[in-house]
Amino acid sequence: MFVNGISTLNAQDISSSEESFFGEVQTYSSPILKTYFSDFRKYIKPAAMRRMSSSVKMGVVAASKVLASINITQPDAIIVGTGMGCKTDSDVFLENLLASNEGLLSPTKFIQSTHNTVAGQIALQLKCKAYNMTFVQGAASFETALLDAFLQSISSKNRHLLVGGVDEISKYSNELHQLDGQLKTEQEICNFNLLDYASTGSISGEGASFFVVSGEKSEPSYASVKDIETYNQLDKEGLKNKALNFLKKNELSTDDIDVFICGNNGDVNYDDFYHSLQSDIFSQIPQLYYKHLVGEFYTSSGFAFWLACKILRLQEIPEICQLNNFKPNSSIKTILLYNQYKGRDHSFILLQAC
Amino acid sequence: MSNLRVELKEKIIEQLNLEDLSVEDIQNDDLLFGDEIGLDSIDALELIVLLEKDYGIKLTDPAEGKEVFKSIETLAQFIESKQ
Repeated sequence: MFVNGISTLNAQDISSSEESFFGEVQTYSSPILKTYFSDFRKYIKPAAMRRMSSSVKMGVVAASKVLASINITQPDAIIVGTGMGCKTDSDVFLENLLASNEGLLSPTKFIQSTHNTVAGQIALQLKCKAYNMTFVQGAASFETALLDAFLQSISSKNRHLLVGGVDEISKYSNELHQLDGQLKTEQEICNFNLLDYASTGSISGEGASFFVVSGEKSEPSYASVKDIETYNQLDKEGLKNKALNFLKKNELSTDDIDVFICGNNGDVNYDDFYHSLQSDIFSQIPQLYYKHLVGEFYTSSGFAFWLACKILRLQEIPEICQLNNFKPNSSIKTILLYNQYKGRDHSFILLQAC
Repeated sequence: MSNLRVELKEKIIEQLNLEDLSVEDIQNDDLLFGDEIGLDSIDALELIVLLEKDYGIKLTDPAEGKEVFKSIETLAQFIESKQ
């Protein structure tokens, strides 16, 4: 499957230039990293936007941008992954449900509170009646959507599939995450020092990453997706074998991987999953991380996928993402992505230059 | 301007997320549905909920709603007639 278009919105100032990764890199002193992009009115009519939550706006804009970038007006499928959907409106709806004793409920919050609202609104904006699917699989939601597109691209090559991942910050989720240790509680926090805090939890983010993929290569494609694998649960001992088997299945060895991108999020309880691979079979190659830039959210790996596509296109590594001092030996041909959240929803994605 | 009419405008702007409008932008006789304010069918449902929740008035006849929700003035008169 070929990646023919890419777009991402998150806490960083993403460069509109094909030649660079970021505009001015954004620093945050709170554990909540809201999306940097604000020019939604450029893409969505005010009348439509007034009912849209943050995730719907981010999803619609990211989808619009990627389709426009390669001059596609009607995709052949809309496939979205989301961990929490339109969480803010879900919270408000449930709050109203309790407050009104299941009586008078706002129809807008009900309509907007379902997980598939983003995919639905993208279709409405585009007047697209093609295949429309939303996958809700925790931290493997984006990967599951990508897997669906991957399988579709094999069965029917000449289709342009819009696939993406989106999640939004919600006040209640953050409050709950603070209570159960998923969010860091240090008084002073800087996102660039995310891996330096010896504490549980991470920083919370939001964003949308959308891609146009196809079984057919366009000129020029960003990357070729070779394989995707997800595991609901893995132990640290079994992880190494799964990684090696994943490469073997694709007729590769660890020596063939030029860049290894991991989802380290600074949580002392779970970053060991990444360390076990980073200090062992991938210890001699460039290692990248990204959650210090965009925060942790269920579909943050969509940003890692964007990053990998961009690296393969530009043939350079953004220094701000580099975890070790290794530089790629020659041209960057193969990138492996690995992500997990709280020891669950492990995923591998293998991309190659094309 | 009566308090009820101002109150209705404030509630409508807040409830329906009419971010671009202020109380001064909505005239009492402006058509709520159509070109002037541009509300739609989902907004009509929101107004029915607002009427019942905030004023205790239940609108049971759909035909009645068309006239009641015509403008701020008709809505205010309807509420006054029920109180």
